Amino acid sequence: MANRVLLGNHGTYGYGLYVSKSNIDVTGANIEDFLFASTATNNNQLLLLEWIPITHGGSGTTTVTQQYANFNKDCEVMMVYTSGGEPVTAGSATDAWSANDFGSLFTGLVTLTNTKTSSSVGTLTLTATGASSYTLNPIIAVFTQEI
Amino acid sequence: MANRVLLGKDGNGDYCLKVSASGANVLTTSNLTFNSLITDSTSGVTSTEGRAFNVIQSGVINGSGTTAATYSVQFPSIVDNSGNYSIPFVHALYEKTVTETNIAAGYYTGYGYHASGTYSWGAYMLLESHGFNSSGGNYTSGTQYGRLRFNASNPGNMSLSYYILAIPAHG
Repeated sequence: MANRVLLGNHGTYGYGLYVSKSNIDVTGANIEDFLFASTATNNNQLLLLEWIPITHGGSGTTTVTQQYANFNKDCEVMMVYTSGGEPVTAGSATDAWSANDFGSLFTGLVTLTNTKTSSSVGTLTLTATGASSYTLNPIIAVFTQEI
Repeated sequence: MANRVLLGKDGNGDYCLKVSASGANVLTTSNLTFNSLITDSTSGVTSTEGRAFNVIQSGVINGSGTTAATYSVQFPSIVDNSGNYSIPFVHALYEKTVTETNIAAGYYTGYGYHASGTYSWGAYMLLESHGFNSSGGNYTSGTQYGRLRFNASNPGNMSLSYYILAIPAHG
């Protein structure tokens, strides 16, 4: 069985905690062979993964907010548009999937913003507009990765 | 050099694994790159406890030809102790192989399809949590598998890089 966990001085990457893939000796492992390396810029953890539904009545602006514990991170967010539990559209902007300010999506009717409200609280704000009634049920994920 | 890895008891008396950012002292900083003590009691939030993005399967599906076709790969189903199956969270990157400059990235999850459009170059992705064997046939016995399917209208121009994460889509 290969040595897979190293807490100490790696010959190439220095002092740290390293975990290698199955059957790979951690002491000689390259960066692509680590499952975990404390020397990484971020070991991306999930802070939030929720369905956050929004129902718009066809007039004005509908707003849904959700706060979360941000552990003092200006976190990265990704979302998937869904309706009835099924992804239906990707939105219309190339940065729709991973950004802090999603701008206008769903043919310009829906926006999602993420704000670092304080050192402990982040706030997601989902807004919906348009002359038609609709319900979206997006999955929204928040990472510890910072923008 | 700063102390960057703490495996043991922190200043609050909690046993943990913490890793700080480069140059930050793990014993005193809040600038952590890994923290095993993440939890969230905010109303409306089911705490993820800071799950890491562990990949259970990854690969590339390459299309071929010009006739619409469906490609699939199987992955071991995620099942909890109560026997409930979950759809995994999947990160997939569609790529049009004709030109490397046209790459569309997307995160997908759920049982359903990703509608065609400029992102997916006429393709969609379907995720099914369980019900199959390792070859994609109907499950009868043994390890149960889920299925990731990829449909392309012009598959010769398509490839799909995917990462199936050990995270149920519901968190």
